Amino acid sequence: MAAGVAAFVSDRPETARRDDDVAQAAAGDALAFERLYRAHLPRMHGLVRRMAGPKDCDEITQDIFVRVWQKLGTFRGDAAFSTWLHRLAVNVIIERFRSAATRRLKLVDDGVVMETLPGRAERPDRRLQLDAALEHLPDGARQIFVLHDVEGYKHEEIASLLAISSGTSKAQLHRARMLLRKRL
Amino acid sequence: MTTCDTDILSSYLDGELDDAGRARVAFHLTGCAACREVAADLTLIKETAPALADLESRPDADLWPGIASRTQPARATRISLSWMEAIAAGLALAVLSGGGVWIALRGGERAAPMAQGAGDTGPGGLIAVADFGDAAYESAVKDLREALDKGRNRLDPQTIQVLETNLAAIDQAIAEARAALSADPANVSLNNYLADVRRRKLALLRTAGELAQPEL
Amino acid sequence: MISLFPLIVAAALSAGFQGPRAQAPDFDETVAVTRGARLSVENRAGEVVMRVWDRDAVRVTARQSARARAHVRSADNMVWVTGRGLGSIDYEITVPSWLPVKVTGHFNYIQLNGMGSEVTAQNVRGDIDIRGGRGFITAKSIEGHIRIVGAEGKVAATAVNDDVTIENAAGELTIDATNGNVTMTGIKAAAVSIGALNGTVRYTGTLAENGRYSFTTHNGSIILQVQPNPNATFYVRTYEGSFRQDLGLKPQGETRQGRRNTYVSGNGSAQVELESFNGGVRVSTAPARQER
Repeated sequence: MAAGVAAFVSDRPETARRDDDVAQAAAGDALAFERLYRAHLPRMHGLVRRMAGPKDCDEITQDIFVRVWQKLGTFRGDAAFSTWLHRLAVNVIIERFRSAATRRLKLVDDGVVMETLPGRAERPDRRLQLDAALEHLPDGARQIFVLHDVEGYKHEEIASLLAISSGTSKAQLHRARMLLRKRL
Repeated sequence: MTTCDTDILSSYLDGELDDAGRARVAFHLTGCAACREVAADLTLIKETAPALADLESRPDADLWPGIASRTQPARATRISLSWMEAIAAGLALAVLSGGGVWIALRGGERAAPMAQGAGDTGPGGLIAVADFGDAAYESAVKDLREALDKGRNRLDPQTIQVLETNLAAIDQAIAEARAALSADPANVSLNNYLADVRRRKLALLRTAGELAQPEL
Repeated sequence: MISLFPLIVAAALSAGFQGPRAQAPDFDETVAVTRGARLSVENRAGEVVMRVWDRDAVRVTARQSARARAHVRSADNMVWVTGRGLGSIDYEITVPSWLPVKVTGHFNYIQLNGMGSEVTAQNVRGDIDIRGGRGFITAKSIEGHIRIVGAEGKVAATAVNDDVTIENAAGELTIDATNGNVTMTGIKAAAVSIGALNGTVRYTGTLAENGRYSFTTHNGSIILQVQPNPNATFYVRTYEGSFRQDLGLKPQGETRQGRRNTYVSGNGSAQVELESFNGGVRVSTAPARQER
């Protein structure tokens, strides 16, 4: 399992109680499901925002938890719930982009046009700067960057998820990194 | 690299080059300050990125009500009609609704404009017919809804949400048309208009029901 | 060396990625067809791009994702292209221009170019882009922009959650959008029916003698641009918006807000219904500015 995903495995004290919630939610307990939702929302919302951008973030996050409810019966407990949830979330996000991509967002790369953000502010926190810069990446490059560099997926896994070749994944990762790097 | 082709740098930094490739790039970097700078920048990005996974965020509004409404157990469906019968009922009802104005449903054609020389008033009997249309219309909507609910787990959540949002928008338009009609009950054009919007709702429910059917 | 990302510069969205197109097709089959044949393509997810050639044959190439397999079958003057398994398939299909085609699916981008016969395209999610079409041209999408250019015949387009754009069409047009705008330009049609719920209806075209036209929207404006001095009767109703026109139309009788008001131009032969519940109606011969 990719390193970034393994970081999701929780070792907090409430793990045991959370496991109960999973079992109860799988059995149809709406209150247990709500507890799961509230516990995992911040990470999921952050993941969606990084991969999909802020625009449809809330909607996609909602879709993810609805899918969790629908698929909870298939969770076998052989991996951490948060790992299972993470993989499901990535699938929902990618599905969304697969359909949105039919709007011809996947354009042929014909060069990068530089544009200065107005009112640029210096941010001391490198994480926050990178996070903010992510929003300006094109969808495909951002997805691959988040999956590989942030979440730790391998190119082969990304290729399988996005139905592209490993070569394309590598090329797009590099392009994302170079776009993030650009500055005056 | 014989020229400064930085495209290979990510692969180099990710350890994806073979020995020969790695050696070539390493050798180039020793002599090229520009590429070293790019490599250093990319390394910084690579090293910073995993920390983004810890950046949590929250939606502006609580998403739970929306999630709860979409995950509530489906109400018990008393299917009184098969979906084909429900659609037929919907079509028949559309003929009746709108206060007795006949609406053609072939391919969405609109009714011919009523030949009326004067304004919009019509005979008082139209009001009574509109009341009859209400009950039959609601019944058809209910049956089409049930047929849709039966198969909605075959639809993905986003499609369901789009359909529900649009059905709600149509309901809003129906409410506005009805409010206008209650203020001007003898207005034949408004009657026509209400019938048109109701027909739109039935058509969307019919489309949704067809989508929710198992693929043949 | 980057220190603190001093000036973050955004790259414009022109840089995308070449997705499956970067891969070579891994499926390639050609079947001969004779006049009278029809093609049906069912693709659950992916793309269907169609072009025409002058051969009496259908060539199907595809890029298949890991778990999906394309399948071509022909019998009884029908050619079926279907997919097996989960995952997406991106098709490029070349057909004779005389071949009627039907493309259906769930999550699809559909682009049909140079069509010379009947076209049916249906989607749950995905844009539909049809160039050409003769006879019956039908497009339906729940979420997806529908664009039809250069069609002649009976054109029917239904979009639930996106816009419909029709350009340079002739014949009879029936367009419906629930949550989207309808924009029609270069239209030469004798029967037009446009219905929208949340959207603005824009129509630029000629009004034919004795033609029948109906434009309706609930939340949005209706903006018509027609030839000068048309022979047409306009029936106009708005509840919350206004009616503006520069054709010199004369009202028939007293005009009242919320009621159907009649205006006549020339011999009044074309019948034009214009109705916006919450928006305005504008009829002109000049390029129309956005109303409301």
